[in-house]
Amino acid sequence: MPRPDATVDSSFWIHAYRSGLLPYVLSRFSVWYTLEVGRELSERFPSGREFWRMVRARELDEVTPLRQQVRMFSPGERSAINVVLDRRDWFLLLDDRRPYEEAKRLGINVVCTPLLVAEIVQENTIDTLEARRMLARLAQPRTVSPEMIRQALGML
Amino acid sequence: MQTKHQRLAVVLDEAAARRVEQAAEQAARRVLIDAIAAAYERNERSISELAAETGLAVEEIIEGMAARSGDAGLETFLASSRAVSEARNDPEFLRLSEVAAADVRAREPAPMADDVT
Repeated sequence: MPRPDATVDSSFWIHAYRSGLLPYVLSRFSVWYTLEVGRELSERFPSGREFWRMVRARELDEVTPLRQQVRMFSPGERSAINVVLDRRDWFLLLDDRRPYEEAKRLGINVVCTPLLVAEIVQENTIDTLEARRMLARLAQPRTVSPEMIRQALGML
Repeated sequence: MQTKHQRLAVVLDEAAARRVEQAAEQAARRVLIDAIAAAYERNERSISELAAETGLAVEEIIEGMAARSGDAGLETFLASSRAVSEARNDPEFLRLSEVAAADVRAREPAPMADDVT
């Protein structure tokens, strides 16, 4: 079965990489990125190196928004949201609280890392201990909403 | 009241000067990360917006905040686990979260950028 298309934001990519969730993201979605998101992922860092390795291996493809419907947030977040506003059957992979809330308000299919962890547990792809390890790693830097982590724990 | 000023001159060789420069840069980055963390916790900006404003990389901010928060993020995770465990009257739920948190604590610190370590 073909994987649904999804465009990724930089903080989601970094959180997925550092928590061990990234392989499950890549097996679940066909992942696309915008030029602006690519610019936010530096090869000086491990997850940025992995991102650019996959770009060079043609495992990730670039996409450009057709229209600039949203003008808030960072260039990366804005471009990722605008891509999904053009293609309403796509998913948006995004973690930051404010753009996440705006994406929900716009009716976008938005996925954050903690809730994706809970979903893959429900599919029996990983056990609940591994899910807790991922959620603990996501909680560690305090850059993922504690509310989203609490919701994900409630789904285990 | 008149204040007396003293001037102190230090002569450094090239290697020592480089170490001083690196230490100053790291201290400046720590101050910047503290300010970014405070702005983020007030929900004023996203991490990417703060990266664009400060010139730090998004990943540098996330790893810097991980280093800065120490155990606080894991304690929040455990507090949430405790709440679910108590609501369900399921002590095993909290025990598994404690095992996971211990595993994460035992893991090596997250790798930093090549030129920041």
